[in-house]
Amino acid sequence: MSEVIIKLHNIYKSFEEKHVLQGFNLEVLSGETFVILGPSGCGKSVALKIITGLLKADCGKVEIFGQDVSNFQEKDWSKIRRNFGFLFQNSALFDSLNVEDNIAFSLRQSFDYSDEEIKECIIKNLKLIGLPGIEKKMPSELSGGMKKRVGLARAIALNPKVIFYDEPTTGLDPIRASGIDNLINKLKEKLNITSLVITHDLKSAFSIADRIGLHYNGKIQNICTADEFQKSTNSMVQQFLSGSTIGPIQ
Amino acid sequence: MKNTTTKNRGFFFQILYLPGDFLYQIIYIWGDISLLTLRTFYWIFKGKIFGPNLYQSLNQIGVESLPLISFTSFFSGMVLVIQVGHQFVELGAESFIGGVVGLSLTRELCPMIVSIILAARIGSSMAAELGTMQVSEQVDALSVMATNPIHYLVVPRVIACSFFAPILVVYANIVGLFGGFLVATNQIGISSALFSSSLVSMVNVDDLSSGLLKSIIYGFIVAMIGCYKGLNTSGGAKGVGVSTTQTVVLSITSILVLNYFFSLIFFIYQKYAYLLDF
Repeated sequence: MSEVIIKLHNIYKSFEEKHVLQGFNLEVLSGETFVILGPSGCGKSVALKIITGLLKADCGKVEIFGQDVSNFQEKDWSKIRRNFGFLFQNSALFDSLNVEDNIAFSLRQSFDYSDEEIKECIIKNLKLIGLPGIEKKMPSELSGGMKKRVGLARAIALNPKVIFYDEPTTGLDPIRASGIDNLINKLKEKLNITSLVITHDLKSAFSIADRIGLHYNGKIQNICTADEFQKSTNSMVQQFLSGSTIGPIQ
Repeated sequence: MKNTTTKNRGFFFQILYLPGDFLYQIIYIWGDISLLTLRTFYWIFKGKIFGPNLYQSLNQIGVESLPLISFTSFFSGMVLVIQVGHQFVELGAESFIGGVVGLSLTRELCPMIVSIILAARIGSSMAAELGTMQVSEQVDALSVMATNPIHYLVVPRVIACSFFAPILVVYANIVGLFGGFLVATNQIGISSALFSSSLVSMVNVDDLSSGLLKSIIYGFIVAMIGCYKGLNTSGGAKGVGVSTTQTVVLSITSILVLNYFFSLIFFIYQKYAYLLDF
C-alpha cells in the first residue's frame, strides 16, 4: 500500500462570517495525482494554501510526510517547502525577472548549485515543457499558456516530491489545456511526482486523475477513481457532471 | 486594515463612533507596522542581504531621486532668502541671512523636503510594486519557494531607504544653500563673504547631525509603511491604488507629527546641553 504523503484531519477555516472549511478531511498517497473538484468559491484554494502553510487552519491537523505541521512557524516551513512545487492559477511568475531567472530562482536561493548546473536545469526544464530558447523573454512577453508552462518549469526546478496545481487549465483554450494535462501526466511518469490538483475543469480532471474528490459545503463529499466518479450515483456528483442548476449544490 | 464602522449605525452614532474608529485603526496599523519592523530587524541581523535587490533599491532611491531633490531644494533655498532677505536688510540684520538660511535648511527644510519626496516617490512605488506582487500571488510564490518575503522584499528596501535618506539630505543642504547664496548675493545684494561668515558662525555640527538623524528615521518609516501597505494589499488593481494613496498619506502625516517631537527634543537638548558637559 502507498504511503500517505499529505493528510488533513478535521480542518476548519473561516473568514469572518464565511465558513470555508468545515471538517475537511483528505489523504493523498505517494505517486498519485489527486484532483479536488468543486464549484468556484467553495474553498479549494484555501485548502491548498493550508497544506502549503500560506494560511493557518482555525483548528484540525495537517500532516505532511508524516510530520504534524499544524503548529509550524515560518522558519519550520522553509525546510519542508523545498519538497514542494506550486503552479499558481495565474502562474505568479516574478514579472521583474526573465524566464531564466524565474526558473533558476529557487535553485539560487535555497541551495548551492553551480552556475553550470543551474543553466543545465533551465535548458532541461524548458525542453521538457516544450519551450526551448525562451530563456531571455520577460513574463509580459509570454501568452497565458506559455506562462503556465514556465510556471510549471519553475515548480519542478528543485525536483519536488509534491506539486500543487491551482486551476492549471483555467483560462486556456482546449488545445493548450490538453497540453498542460499531458505535461502533468508526463511529469508523473518521468519523475514519479505526487500531485494535488484543484480544478473545476472536468475534462482535465478525468485525463490526469488517479482519484477525484468533490469539494462542497466545506468538506470532501465523495472520493473515488476517475471512472467511478463518472459512474457515481451521488446526487452532488451527478449535478456537478451535468452542470445542472437544480440539485443539492447551490 | 479592519474597519469597525458598522453598516447599521445611524448618522448621529456614526459621528460618535468616528474618533474611536480612527483611534482603533491607528493603533491597529502601528501595531502591525511594529511587528513588521521587528521581523525586518530579525532578518537584517540573521540572513544575508540579497545583493541585486539592494543594488536596485539603492539606485532607485538614491540616484534616481537626485534630479527632483536638486530642483526642489535649490528653489526652496532661493525662496527662503527672498522671504527673509529683504526683511533682514530693512532691520539692518543682513549679517544673519546666511546663518538663518543655513539653520532653516539643515535643521528642518531639507530633512522634510527629502522625506516628503521619498514618501511620494519611493513609498508609493514600494506599495504599488509589493501590492501588485501580493494580488498576483507572487508573494505567495516566494513563500512556497522557501524564500521569506520580508527577507527578500522588505529588508533591501528598508536598508536602502535608511542609508540614502541622510546622503540625500546632505546633498539637498548643499544645493539649497547654493540657491540661497545666489539670491542673497545677486538679488538682495549682500556680499558672498558676509553670507559665508554668517553661515559658518551660526550653523554647527549639532544642527547638521540633527537633520541627518531625523532623515534616517524618516527614511526608515517611509520604507516600512510602503512595504507594510504593499504586503497587506487586497482587492486587485483598486486595492493597489488604495494602498499607494494610504502609504503617501500615512507617511507624510507620520513624518510631520514626528518632526514636531524631534524638533522639541533637539531644542531641549541644545538648551540643556551644557549640563552634560563635565
